[in-house]
Amino acid sequence: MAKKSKNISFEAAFHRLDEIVTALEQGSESLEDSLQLFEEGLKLAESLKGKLKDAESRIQELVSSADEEPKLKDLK
Amino acid sequence: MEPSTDTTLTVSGLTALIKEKLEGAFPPLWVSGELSNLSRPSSGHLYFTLKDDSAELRCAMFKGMNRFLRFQPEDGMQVILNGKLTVYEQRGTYQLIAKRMEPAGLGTLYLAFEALKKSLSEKGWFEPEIKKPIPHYPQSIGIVTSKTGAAIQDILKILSRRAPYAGIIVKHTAVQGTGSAEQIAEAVHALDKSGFANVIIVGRGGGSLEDLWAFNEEAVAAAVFECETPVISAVGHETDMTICDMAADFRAPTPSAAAEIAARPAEEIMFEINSYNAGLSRVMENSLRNAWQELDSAENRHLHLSPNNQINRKLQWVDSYYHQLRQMSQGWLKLHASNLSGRLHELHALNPEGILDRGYAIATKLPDKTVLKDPEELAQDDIFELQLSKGKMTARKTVKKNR
Repeated sequence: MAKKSKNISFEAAFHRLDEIVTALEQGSESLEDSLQLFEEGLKLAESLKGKLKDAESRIQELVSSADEEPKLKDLK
Repeated sequence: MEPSTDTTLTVSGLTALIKEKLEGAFPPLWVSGELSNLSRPSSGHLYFTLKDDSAELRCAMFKGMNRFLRFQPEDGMQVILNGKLTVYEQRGTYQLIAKRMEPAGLGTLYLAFEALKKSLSEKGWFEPEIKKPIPHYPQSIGIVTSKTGAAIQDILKILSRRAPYAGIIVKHTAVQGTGSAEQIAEAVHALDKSGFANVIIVGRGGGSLEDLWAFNEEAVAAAVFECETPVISAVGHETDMTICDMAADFRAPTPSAAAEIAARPAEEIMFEINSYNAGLSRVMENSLRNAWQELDSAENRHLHLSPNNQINRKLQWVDSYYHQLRQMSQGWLKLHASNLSGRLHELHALNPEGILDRGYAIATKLPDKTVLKDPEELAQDDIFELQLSKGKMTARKTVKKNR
């Protein structure tokens, strides 16, 4: 799951962050696991920050109808 | 009390009885006719007669209600009224107390609106329990509206300022005129099915009741109701409540407001991420502190035995974490790292090499250099190595001494 962190959605990333902090707070993990979770958490937070900062909203138009293959084109 | 042939009623008694019967018999209702004898005394109430070819009905519309009128009523106008029949006891007349009045043309639209609202409400389409939550972190926001309308401009302006992190997918549709309801429904459906949007805004800018009408049609309500993606409805102005608004998961008063509801500001989300970061740092600091304490007490227990390999293993273990920590090139971690390196230093003092400085020596067997723990491991005249603080020397066992 950690490997995919680039592509998972904001919602899922925040959910995972929540899980990580909760797991670490409970302190039931070994130090090795804690560090791994910690690292995963930091990476998630970084990738989320990156998404927030770098993104420039892209405006596209859905030009297909419901019974077609979805098709997008940039909207000026 | 029931009237009977051998009881004499007072006028008030009879009137009260009529009032009770009449008001009980008629629920609030719609009635159409022509306005006449309209008067508006200084009280602000409105009194008039509603008539058709063969009958008349006395009506009143009180100030509290008639201030919401969207038109100026005049004698001769065809209107429809919604209200309740009552008996005005002082005059012995019955009358309709109107709550709503609409011009007859629009009146039919209102009747359709009320009928659809009632039927969908009975189907449970407006129940709060079926409303889907609007996502907290939408990455992609869908918009169903006209590409050339006012609403799209308002929405895009707010989204680009507030949520540059979110992609925007527009699905163009006519928002008024013949066939527009079906087009809106198809657009909602297409966008939902595409899976491109985490949340969909459907709406248009302000306009007359007729302009907004498509959003009061069942096709739109059904598409919004069936949509699996959460829908924010934003039709016209705050005062325009449509069926689409009621069927949506969230009703925004205007398209701009819908954009604000769909996307929280990037700063707000950044703040949340930072608090997660702080939480991670805090809990990790605690874990590390605990680990160090455990390590310290373990080292203290084994100090006298100085099992070299065990200490080395632990040192290696700590070193590798230290290395990992350093690799996490977070500026704020530097604090922990320097703390950690201080502790590492202390640990090094417990290392056998440090102990040598205090005058201890480590004896190792030759040639394999295993640490000697028992005199029995050597025979008389065997040579072995002694590691002292400043260097090594070779020694020979001369006396065999049993404990």
